[in-house]
Amino acid sequence: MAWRAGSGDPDRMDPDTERVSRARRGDVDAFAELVRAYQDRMVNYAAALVGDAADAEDIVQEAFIRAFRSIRRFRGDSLFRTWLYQIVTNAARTHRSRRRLRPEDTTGAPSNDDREGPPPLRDPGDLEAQIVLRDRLDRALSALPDDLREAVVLRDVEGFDYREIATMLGIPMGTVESRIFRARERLRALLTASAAGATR
Amino acid sequence: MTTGPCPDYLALVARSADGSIAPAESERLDEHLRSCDACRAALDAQRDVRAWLVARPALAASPDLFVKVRDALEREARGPLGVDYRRWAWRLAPIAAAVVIAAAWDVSTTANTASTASAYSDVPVTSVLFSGDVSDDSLLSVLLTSSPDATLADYLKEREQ
Repeated sequence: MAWRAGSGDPDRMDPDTERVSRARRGDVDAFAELVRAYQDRMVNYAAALVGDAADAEDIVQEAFIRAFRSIRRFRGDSLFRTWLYQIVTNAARTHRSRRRLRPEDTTGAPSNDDREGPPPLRDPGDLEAQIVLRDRLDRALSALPDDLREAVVLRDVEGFDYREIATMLGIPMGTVESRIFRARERLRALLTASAAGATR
Repeated sequence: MTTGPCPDYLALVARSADGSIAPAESERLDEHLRSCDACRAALDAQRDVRAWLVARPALAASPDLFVKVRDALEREARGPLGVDYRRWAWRLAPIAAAVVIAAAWDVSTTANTASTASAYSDVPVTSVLFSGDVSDDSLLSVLLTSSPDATLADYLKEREQ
């Protein structure tokens, strides 16, 4: 089942406290419950960051293992999910910086799909159209700088509020607002310019 | 000539597009938008992109991701020796403490002997003849059992054995 965070509130009680507490004592089953609870949203988030489903799964697997190794250092200063998103964000950054070194990487380059104009809103009955739509959006997202992409994905794809995004990315709220504005501005240009060029 | 949106209103435009603007700020923005074409256009663009991204179909994890992660966690928990060291750590703690204490005692004893011997590594054994605080028995023992070119450290090592 796909997931959206909705309105995140860092002040509310962490629903994962009990499982995190058991995991900190070395309970693998407790941590596995956390994996099961968060794997879908983490894969969705990572895919929006790196633009590739298979890479997203690798990133998430690595992120869960990193989280397991360092769960004893998690003090509960933030929600567990906030901490987990930070780990996935860092793993995705590492992945992207490694991939940038590979000459055959073409992620972010314009594709034929980009010539179809602005993306239509989702038709829930058409699976193929959904995949095409997601691919187009992810490709446009991949063309953004990391800092802009992370902010806009956390807001518009994952549904977090500005305050929790500021916590996750370790930046002031004003910077979050600015990055989201600029990210949308660039995405708008990316998703409409090629269509205009194709109709000339 | 076209101009971009007003820098002072970018944050409000971004928040208005996703519905997270506070009521008082919303009124301030509305007032501004009545006279600013560039900010109105920017708000429309922000709303479009927001709508596209919200409509992005979510991707779910593949069925085997959980299995792979679970296996990796089990390996992590067992550690390189194949033992679940997290579960066993508290049971092994008393043994580990005893080993540490025994090792510390051994090191302390060895260090005392070694430091005494090393302090005399450059002192010739004949120097005891000029020392006022050596007993007659010790003086005799040194002279009878050591060669003239030995060091005091050599003599002390032999006596330890």
